[in-house]
Amino acid sequence: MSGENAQEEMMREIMRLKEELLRKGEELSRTESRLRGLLQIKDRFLSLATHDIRTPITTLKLIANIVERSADQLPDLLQRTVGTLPRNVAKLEAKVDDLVRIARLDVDDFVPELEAVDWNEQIKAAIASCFASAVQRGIELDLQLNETATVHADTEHIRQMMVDLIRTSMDRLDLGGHLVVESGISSQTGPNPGAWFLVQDNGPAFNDTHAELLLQDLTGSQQQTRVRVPLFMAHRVAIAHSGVIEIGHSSSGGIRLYAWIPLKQKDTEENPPETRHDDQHNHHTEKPIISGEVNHG
Amino acid sequence: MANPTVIHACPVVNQNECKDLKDELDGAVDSGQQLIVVDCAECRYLNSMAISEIMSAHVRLSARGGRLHLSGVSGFVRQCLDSVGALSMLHVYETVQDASVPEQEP
Repeated sequence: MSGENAQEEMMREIMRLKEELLRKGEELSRTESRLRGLLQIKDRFLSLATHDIRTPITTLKLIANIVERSADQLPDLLQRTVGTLPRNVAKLEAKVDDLVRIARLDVDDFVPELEAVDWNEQIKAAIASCFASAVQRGIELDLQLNETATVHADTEHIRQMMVDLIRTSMDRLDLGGHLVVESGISSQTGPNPGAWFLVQDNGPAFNDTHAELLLQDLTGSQQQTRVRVPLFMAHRVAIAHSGVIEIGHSSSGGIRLYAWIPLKQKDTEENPPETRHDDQHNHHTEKPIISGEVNHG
Repeated sequence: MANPTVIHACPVVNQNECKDLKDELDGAVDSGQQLIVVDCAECRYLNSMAISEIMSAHVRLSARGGRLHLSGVSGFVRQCLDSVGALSMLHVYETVQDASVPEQEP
């Protein structure tokens, strides 16, 4: 083959590869477009399904409350059965919420939308959203707020993280259970100052071998799903904020759930954090001591 | 009607403080008092049991024609009371003085 022919052959091959590349590019574009369409369908379905599932649950809750209030007019056997209704409806509602949140989960794309938020205000909001459930279930929910600070975080997700940790604990407790929520500011983890959130209960001791599983990806073991969903979600939020979630034993033998989030994701030293005492709670700031068997996420 | 019993809720009512609050409420109810005022002006947090105790005292008093009034409820305490539907069941007033008038409706 002469040099000229070889060059022509090479040009033809280059042209063929270019055409192939173009075809593949168009194919990829069509696939991407189809996937985007499917994602939109999934989102629309989830939106409708969420509404369709939650509406009957709301009605169910209302009926359960009405029946419970009239329980004294029922025979003893029915009274006991009716007494379990509100709690079971609450569990069903929580489970549906978990399912919807997992269905919406997109781990790779989760980027927190950072804004300045007051740490203790988020804790109060989280407590408020769990409060009715605590009262209904006869769980004593204590709150010890220490100094607060402005944290640069995704408001909605940070609040949900706190709710998830409280829920994880509450789901383990029965009537008469005791749960303490604490907060504060510290530089315990790493060189940067951060805000911490601690939930401790007097519920049953958990198996150490499960502690690690609690924070792992949900595609792993099917065990402990009752507590794993909210805890997994909380862990995901903490990691996305360069924070940590730790699990250990509480001093009263129950579970100890600890979250730490840096006050700022960047430029912490250039912009020292503003800390102040919550004028509503003047407790001393105490750095939590990590005791017992702690599993880092 | 005799003067009401006024119970002042402390700034943070957690487990220990809740026991004291329960004792005060039980004492007032058992003494035959017809009007109890729980003053929350200084209170920034009432735990879940404290609210249950207040509701329980309200039910016991109502059963014999008495009343339990709240005063000075604001901020986070109001939010927690509202979340359990207590605000729609209890009589809430701005001040202890307002709450101490038995005839007054909210």
